[in-house]
Amino acid sequence: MTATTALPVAIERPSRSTQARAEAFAAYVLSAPAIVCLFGILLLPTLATFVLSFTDWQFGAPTLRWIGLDNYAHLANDRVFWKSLSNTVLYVLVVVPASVLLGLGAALLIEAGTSGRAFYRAAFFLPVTATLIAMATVWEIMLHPSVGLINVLIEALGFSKQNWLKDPDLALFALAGIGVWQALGLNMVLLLAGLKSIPRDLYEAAAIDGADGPWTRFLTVTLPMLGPALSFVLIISAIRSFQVFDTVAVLTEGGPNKATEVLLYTMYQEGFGFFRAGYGAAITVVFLLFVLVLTLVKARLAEKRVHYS
Amino acid sequence: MSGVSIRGVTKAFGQTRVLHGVSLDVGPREFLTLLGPSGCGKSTLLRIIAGLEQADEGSIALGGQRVDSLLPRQRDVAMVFQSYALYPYMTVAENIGLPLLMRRTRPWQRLPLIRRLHPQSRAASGSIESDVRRAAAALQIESYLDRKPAQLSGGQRQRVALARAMVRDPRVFLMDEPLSNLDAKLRVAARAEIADLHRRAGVAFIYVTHDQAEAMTMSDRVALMMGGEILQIAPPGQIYEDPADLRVAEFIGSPKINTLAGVVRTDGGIDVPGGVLSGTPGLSQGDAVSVAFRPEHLQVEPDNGASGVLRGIVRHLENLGSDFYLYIEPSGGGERLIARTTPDIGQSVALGAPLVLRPAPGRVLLFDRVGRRIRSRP
Amino acid sequence: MTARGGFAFSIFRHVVLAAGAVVMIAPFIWLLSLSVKPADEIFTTDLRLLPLRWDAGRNYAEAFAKVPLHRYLLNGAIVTATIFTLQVLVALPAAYALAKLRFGLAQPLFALVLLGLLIPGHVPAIPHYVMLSSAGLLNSYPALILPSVISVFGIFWIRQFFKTIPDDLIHAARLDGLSEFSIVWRIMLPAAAPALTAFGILSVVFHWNDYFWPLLVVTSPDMAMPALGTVYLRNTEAGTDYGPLMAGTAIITAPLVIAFLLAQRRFIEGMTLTGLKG
Repeated sequence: MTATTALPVAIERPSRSTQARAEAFAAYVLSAPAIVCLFGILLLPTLATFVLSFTDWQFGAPTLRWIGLDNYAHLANDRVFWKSLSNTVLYVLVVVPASVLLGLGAALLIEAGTSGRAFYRAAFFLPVTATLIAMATVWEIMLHPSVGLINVLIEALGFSKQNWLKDPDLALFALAGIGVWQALGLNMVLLLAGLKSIPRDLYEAAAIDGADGPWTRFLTVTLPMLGPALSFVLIISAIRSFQVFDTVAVLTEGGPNKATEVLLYTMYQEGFGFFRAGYGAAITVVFLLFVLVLTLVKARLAEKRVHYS
Repeated sequence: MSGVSIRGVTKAFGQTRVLHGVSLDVGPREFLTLLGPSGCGKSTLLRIIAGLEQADEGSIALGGQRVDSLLPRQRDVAMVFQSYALYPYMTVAENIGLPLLMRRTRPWQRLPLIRRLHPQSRAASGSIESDVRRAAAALQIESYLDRKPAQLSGGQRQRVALARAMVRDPRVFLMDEPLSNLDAKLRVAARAEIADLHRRAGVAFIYVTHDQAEAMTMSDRVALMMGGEILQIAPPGQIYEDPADLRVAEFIGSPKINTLAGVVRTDGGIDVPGGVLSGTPGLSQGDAVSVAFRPEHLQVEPDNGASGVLRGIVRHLENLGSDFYLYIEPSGGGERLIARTTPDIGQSVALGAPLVLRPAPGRVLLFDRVGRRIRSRP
Repeated sequence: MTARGGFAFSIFRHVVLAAGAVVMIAPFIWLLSLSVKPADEIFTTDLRLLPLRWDAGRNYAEAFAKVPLHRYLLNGAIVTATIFTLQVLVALPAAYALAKLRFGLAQPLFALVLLGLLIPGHVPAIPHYVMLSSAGLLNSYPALILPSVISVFGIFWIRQFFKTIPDDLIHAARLDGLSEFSIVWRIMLPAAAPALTAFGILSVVFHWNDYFWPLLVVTSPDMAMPALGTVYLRNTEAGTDYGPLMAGTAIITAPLVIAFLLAQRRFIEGMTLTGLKG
């Protein structure tokens, strides 16, 4: 018995199938709202920000003029802008290492034992979910120069009280402290996940090979295996802390003497405080470029993790 | 003609050709199995019949009617997937009833409030409920109707998938390796259930599998596919005893059929490594052929020194209790030959014993150099 | 690393972690403590956790009297719930199309989604403000809600999740007679529940705590969101009446804290998505 029938075979090429057409049609209808919103709310306004940065428009002005790169030239000569940028970078350089190291320490200690894990995890993570503005207000009272909790404790320990938020040398670091307090829990949780994913038998193999002490275990197994998670957490921390705004806006308003002026706050001041929309847009573009570089690094790191996991 | 009619179906994914002009007819009440190794195109063909994939060339007709331009849901086919594809967030009853719900109600009647209030949709849900019960009863899963798939075992989920297919009363059932996720014992029981289902439903079943035991035990006919082509369609007995191609002979039958490479002699016999076998009329001298015979057709005797016969040495023994297999290294070299015998005889054979091998004369199959079967002329 | 090192290590671990936990929780405890103290006990270097004289009643009543605290919470609830609902309505169908359907725009659209992930939320702020201003929508629910309706992260996240759903499930649904639209809402939505929970928590927490955008578009107290509301509260308490300030702050902070304590695992799961979101 043969595989084909006795009748002549009519070979035809059917038109693009009904199923394929139905799928494509449905896809367009289903993604239409997203496409509209994507362009209308995200892409076009972002483009508008770019365009605006090349104009001299102010809020409420009836006309605007194209001024090319003038805003950027002005920025380059703007002392406040440079102070703002350097403050932001300094802030990041303080918050990121501190919150990642402390988060790592907490994660290691939590994972090293079995009791109290849920409690400690919740305690460390609580600041992450709380409304920062609200808690910043509490911190402000705690940092009060004479009766604040922090200063009273410091004095009890033998140091002198400080005017944390009004001292130009200390204010940024006080804000950074609050930033670390808020970010630590998130880093800890991400690193906990990284720690949990290290296979147990690596430690056992290391033990057989003689690497048994806690410090050795950390250096030979934990740290290398945690490498990707650590880099990831570092870059995420950097991206988030670069966008610091809330504490500055509420506690110091950029002062004293621009000691805590940060990039987003400057953008807010110029754009909405002084209504210089064009100039504010230029600052936004600079902000975007910095965050973009960090995000691209993050994306590359994320890709590598996916390939290795 | 009713049933399923497939003509000249070709399909390629990118540069890879998966089906090469496949044609096939399935009778309206027939159980046909598409059997073949993975990658041979059988699942693709099934999905083309269902309308989930589109053939590049060729046509499909169901019940005499061309269905190429119809959406899957318009083709009146039901399909059971290898993974069962049960909706995880619905109960078993809702899973089984969904196709009926789609068919018997209009979309607006399914909206939450209306569903409860509108007389027509309430009537529909009543009839759906009774049909679901009936399908569940037939497969003995009535007690699971309120559970979710995650709470069921593999065998139970498989029956839910069957019930969901059954409840629609389709004119064709398509099954894509529905038993491969079950363990061996369940599989045997499930085979009987599916065969039962086929008898009761009385419609065409197209069944895809790579397991030849399933194909042999359940089908009216088996279509063996390899490399995107159908090599042979025949009832199970015929495909076993009368394979049309060497690849068919090697795929069907466990343990695998014995093969020897041979050359035809001037006297019509066949030279094989280590001996001579008798040939059939019609062969030309010098032809290269493959000689094949099944383990149960290989008779063995202790080596008595006769000349010109095939001989070999026993290298391995397998006692399965009901059968005994001897693994023999032929004197002329090459792959081991397997002989099936009874335990009584097998146990008297020692490892390393020299044997004379005699394939049963009428049971030797000959294939030409490209694998086509050479049938003896009467 | 499982429990090891014996008793001494265990003590060490608990001491260090407990100290850390105290530092982490201190502001919350102190918040509650200050909120029930009278002014003279607040302005003292005498540290006490519990007040000598309870003034909770006055503090909390004052807080409610000075600013519409209940409005802040109500606005927070309405705005975050609406934002999340709209985000799902927009993102889920698109994520399904990108994950499971074959159509010409699929690649470019996904590329645009990835592009969108690179843009921080503050960048389109000025044009958003201008658009809302010229539509006369400032200081309203639409102003708070509309800019956040598109969540490219939501589309990305849900699409990744949908990719893990077996195609056969959708094939079975098509054979059963479901249209693509039905498949989205009957099959994919329930299946996406875990991803939506995490995303929901991320979205709600982020928008509840957002200060930047409400600061820009809200000009009257009864439209304020929780974070902005705290600042209004501060401004009316300019000076030294910290008791009611802390009371009001406690009220505003309470909902998220309580929700977190009740559903810790889910919160943590959801918030770790900020890692992916950037």
